[in-house]
Amino acid sequence: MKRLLGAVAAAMLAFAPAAQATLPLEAWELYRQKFVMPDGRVVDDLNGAISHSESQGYGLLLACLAGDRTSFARILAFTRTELLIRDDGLAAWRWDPKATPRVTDINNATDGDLLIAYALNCAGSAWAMPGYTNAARQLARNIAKATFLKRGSETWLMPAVTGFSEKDRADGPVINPSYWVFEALPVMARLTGDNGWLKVQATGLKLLDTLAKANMPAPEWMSVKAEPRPADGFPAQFGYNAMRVPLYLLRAGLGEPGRLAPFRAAWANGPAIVDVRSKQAVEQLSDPGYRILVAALACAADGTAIPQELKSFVPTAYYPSTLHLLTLAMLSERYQRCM
Amino acid sequence: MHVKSILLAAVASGAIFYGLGRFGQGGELPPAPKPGTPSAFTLDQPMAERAEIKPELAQAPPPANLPAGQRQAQPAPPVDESALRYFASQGDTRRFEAELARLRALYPQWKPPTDLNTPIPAGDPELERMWKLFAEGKLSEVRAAIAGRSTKETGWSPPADLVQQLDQAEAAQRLVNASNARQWEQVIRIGTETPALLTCANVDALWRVAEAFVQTERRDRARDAYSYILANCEKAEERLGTMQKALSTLQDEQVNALMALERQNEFASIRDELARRRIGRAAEDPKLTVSADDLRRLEVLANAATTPDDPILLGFYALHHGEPAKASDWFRMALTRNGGAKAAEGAVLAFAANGKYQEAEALGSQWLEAGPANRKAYLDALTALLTQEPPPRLEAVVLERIVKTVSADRYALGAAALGWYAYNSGQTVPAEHWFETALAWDREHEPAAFGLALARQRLRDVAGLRAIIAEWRGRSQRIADILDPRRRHLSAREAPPRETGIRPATPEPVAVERMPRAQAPEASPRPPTAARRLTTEPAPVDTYLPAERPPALREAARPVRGGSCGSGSSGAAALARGWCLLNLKRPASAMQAFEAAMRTGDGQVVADAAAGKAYAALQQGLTNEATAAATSAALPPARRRELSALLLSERFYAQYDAKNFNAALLTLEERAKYAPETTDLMLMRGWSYFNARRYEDARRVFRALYKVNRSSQALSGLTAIDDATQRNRY
Repeated sequence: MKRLLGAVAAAMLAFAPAAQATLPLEAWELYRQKFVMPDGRVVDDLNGAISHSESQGYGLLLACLAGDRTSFARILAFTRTELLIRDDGLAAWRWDPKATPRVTDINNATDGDLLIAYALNCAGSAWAMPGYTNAARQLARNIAKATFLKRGSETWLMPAVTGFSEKDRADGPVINPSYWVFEALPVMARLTGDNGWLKVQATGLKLLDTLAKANMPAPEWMSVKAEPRPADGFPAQFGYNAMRVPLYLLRAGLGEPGRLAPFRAAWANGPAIVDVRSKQAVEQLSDPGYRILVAALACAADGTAIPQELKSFVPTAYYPSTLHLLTLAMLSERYQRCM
Repeated sequence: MHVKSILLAAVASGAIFYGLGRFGQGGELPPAPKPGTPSAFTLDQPMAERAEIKPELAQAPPPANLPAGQRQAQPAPPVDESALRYFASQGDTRRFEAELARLRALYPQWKPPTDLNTPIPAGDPELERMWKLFAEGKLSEVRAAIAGRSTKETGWSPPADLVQQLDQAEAAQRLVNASNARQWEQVIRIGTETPALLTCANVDALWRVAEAFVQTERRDRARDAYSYILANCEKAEERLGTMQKALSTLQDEQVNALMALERQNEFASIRDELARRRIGRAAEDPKLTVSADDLRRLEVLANAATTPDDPILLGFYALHHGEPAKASDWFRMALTRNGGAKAAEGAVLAFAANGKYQEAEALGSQWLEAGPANRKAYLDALTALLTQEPPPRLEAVVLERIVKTVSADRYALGAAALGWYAYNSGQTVPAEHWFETALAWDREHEPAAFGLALARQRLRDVAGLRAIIAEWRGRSQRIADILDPRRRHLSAREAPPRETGIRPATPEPVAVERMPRAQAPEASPRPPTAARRLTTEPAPVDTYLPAERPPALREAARPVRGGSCGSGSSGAAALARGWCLLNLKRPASAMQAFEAAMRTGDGQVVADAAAGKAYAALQQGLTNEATAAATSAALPPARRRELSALLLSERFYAQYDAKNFNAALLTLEERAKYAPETTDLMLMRGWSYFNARRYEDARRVFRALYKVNRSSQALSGLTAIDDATQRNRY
C-alpha cells in the first residue's frame, strides 16, 4: 500500500492541472452547439434528452479544457440551480425535461459530483477564480463525507448515497470502477488536505490490478462484499460505463501496460461491449468516440498514430462525443507523437 | 453571503428584526411592524453543517466582488435603483414590486424615487441586454454574459445590484427545486443565506420555508414564518392561504395565536375549519366535547352545503355523545348526498342505537362489501336485532341474508344471536344448533354455552346439559345454576347477552350440515290467525322461523343504548318507557309504566300496553297476572290468542318442572285451542306422557315426531320407552 501511495503521489506531481486550453476550440464549439442548451443544460440526446450530474460535469470539464469561461458559467448556473439542491450538498443525478418536478431521482451519482468538483477546480485555477476553487473544495468534502466507505486499509467510493450499500443489497457494497475519475482524485486530495482521496485512488488501482492479473476487463458493477466479483442483477460486461476506465487511467498518467492489457485484449477486434467472463463481444461498436479509445490505447502502448478520421471531431451522440473530446484533449496533452 | 453579516447589516441598518429565538416558545407574536417598511423574514439559525457552493462563486474575481455583508454594512450606501428603474421602464409590475419590497426590506430609511419614468442612463447596451435577459428569467444566460464580458474587458465587473438580483433569483429557483425535492435542510439553508428572498414579494418562498420547518419538526419556526406574513403582507388570498397552511400543519393553539392577527373577519372560513376539526376529533372520541358555538357553526354549514362530509361529522359527533336520533337525521342527510360507505356505517350505527334494528339491518345489508367498518356495524346491528325479547318478526329474506353473512364471517356472536332468536321464538332445536355453531366458532363464548345449556334443558337432554355444565364448571356461575332447584324456571330465560365482541380468531371448521337449516322442517303449519304472518315466504330458513311468535314491538319503543328510558307522562311515552324497561330486564318498573300507559293512552296504546303488561308479568314469573293481562278487553282478539298461547306454554313448563305431568298435559290441551303445537312442545308432550308412565301415548307422539323430522330427541324418547318397558318386565 505504501508503495502504491508513493506511486500515486509521484503521478500527482507529474500531472499538474491544465492551465492552458488542451481542447481545440473548434471541436468544443461543435460539441457545445449540439449538446449545450442556452440555459446551460447538457443534453444526453440518446437517453430521452434528459440531463444528469454526469453530463453537466462533463460539460463543465470540457468547457474548462477548452478555455470557454462563458459556457462554463452558463452550465454551472444550470447545474447549481437545478441539481445542487440536496440536503448533503451533492447533486441530484437525474433531470428530465418532460417531468414535473424536473428532478426525477434525488439520489446522487458520485461520478457526476466528482466531475463537477474537478471541473470547478480546473476553472478556479485556469481563470484565477477563488470562488470556483472554494466551491470545488466544499463539494469534494461533501463527497468524501457522504460516499467514502472506509474498510480496513481500503477506501471505496460508493456510487451513490443510497442503493448500493451493505444494507441496501444482499451483495453490497457494490461499486462502479468507472466512477474512479483517477485524474481528479489527487487533485481533490490536495484541495481538501484529505488523504482519504489518495486511499480511494490506491483502492481503485489495486482493484484494477487484481482484475488485470485475472486478465479481466473491468465490469460495470462489482460486489466488494468479499472478493471483488461482478455484482448480482447487472450484466457482467465491460460495457458503456466501464469503457471509460482505460481512458481515465491514460488521462491520469496511470496507464501502465499491465494494467491496460485486459482492455486491449477485449478490444483486439475494435471497440465492443464484452462479456468479462467469456471475453466474447456482445456488441460491436462503431462510433468514432469509441474507436478513438482503442486508438488511444494503441498509441499509449506502441506509439501507433491516431487515424486521421478520428483526429477531426464530428459530434454524433452525447456519450461517445464526450469520450471523443476527452480523448482528443488527452492525446494533445500527453501523446503529441501519435497526433 | 454570510448569514451573520447579513443579520448584522440588518440590525445596523435599523430594520425591525424579528429574531425567531426571541419568541420561539409560548405563542407570543412579534410586535406590529411600522407600516410600509416590513423587513425581510430572517432565519436566525446556525448555518447547517454542510456548507456548499455559494452564489459568489460564479461572479467576477475579487477584489470587485466584495462580500454582500460588507457592502451593506458601509454607512448609508447609495441605493442602487437601476433594477427598479429598468423594471418600471419595461412595465414589469411583478418584478418591479418584488424589487421595491426587497429594497425596502434592506434599506428601511430609503424612499422610493418619484421619477421612475426616467430611463436608466443610456450608453451601456451590453448591460441593458443583461437586464433584459434577467427580466426574461434567462438567469444562466445572464451568468454567461457576465462571464463573457469579464473575459473580454479586463477590469470590468458587473454592477452589484445585478449580481444581487441574480443571486436572489437563482436562490428563489433553488429554493423551489429543493422544496419540490423535499430537501428541507437545503430549503432552510437557502432561506437563511438569502433573507432578501423572504419578503411579502415572495410569499411562496416563505410558505416553502415554513413547510421545511414543519417537515423537520420545528413547528414553532413555521408558526413564526406564518405570523411574519400575517403581520406584514397585504394580499388577501396570500393571507388566507397562509392560514390554510397553518391550519393543516400546526397545532390548534398555534393556529389560535395566528388567528389573533386577523383583519376584519377575513378568516371566517378558517374558523369554520377549526370548528370542523374540533368536532371531527370529538366525533371520534366520546370523552371530548365541543362548544355549542362550534356545533351551531357546523350545522349551519352542513345545512347550507350539498356535500355529505359535514353531516357525517355531525352524525358521528351526535352518535358518540348520546344523541342517536339526531345522528340518524344527519346520516340520512349524508346518504341523500351520496355520502357513501361512511354515511351508511354511521346510519347503521345510529339506527341501531335508536333501537331501530330492522332499519339498521336493512340498510347495513346493502353496504356489506364497502369495508370492514361497514361489515362490523352490520354484524352488531343484526346481533342486537336478533337478541331482542320478545323476538321481532323477520321476513325469510332478512333471515336468509343474516344467516349468509354470519356464516361467511363465522361470526360467533351472530350465531349465538340466531340461537337466542330461535330460542325466544320457541324453536329450541334450531336454537341448540346455532348455539353449538357459535361455540364451534368461538369455544370461549360463554353466552352461547349458556344458551346451549338452556336449550338442552328445555329439550330435556339431561346428558347434554350436564356435559355443558361440566365443561363450564368454575367458569360460569349462571350455567352451573341452571340445575339448581331453587331457581325458578323463568329466571333461566333471562335475556341473551347484548354485548358485542371480537370475532374468534381461529374458529373451528363447522360443517354446513350442522346448521339448523339442515333440520327437517317443522311439522306445524303457520298459524293463519294474523294476516301479516302470511307475508313470510316459504324458504329454507323457515325451519327455524318461529311458528309461534309474539307480536312485533313498536320500533320507536326500543331503548336507547345503555341509557335511561326517558320520562314523559303521555300514554305513548309511558308505553315506550315500558318496553324500554322490559328490555333492560326491569319488569316490575315496566309493569308500572304499562299500567300508566293503559290509564292514559288511546286505543292502540292501551292495547300495546296490555300486551306489554303481560310480558312484564311473565318476566317476573307472575303467571296469574300475566294471564289476567292477556285476557284484558283492550287487546284485539288475535293478539289475545297469541299471548294466551305463550302464557300457556310458560304454565306448561312450570308444571312440567314441578313434575306435575298430568296438569301439564291438560295445559297443553288448553293451549292447543289458541295455537298449533310446535315440535318443541310436541317433544315435551311426549316426555310428559313418558313421565306420567303413559308409555303408549308417549310412543305415539315420539314416533309421529320421528316420522316428521327424524330428530334424535324423538329417537331418544323411543329408546327411553323401550328401556322403561323392558325394565318393567324384570
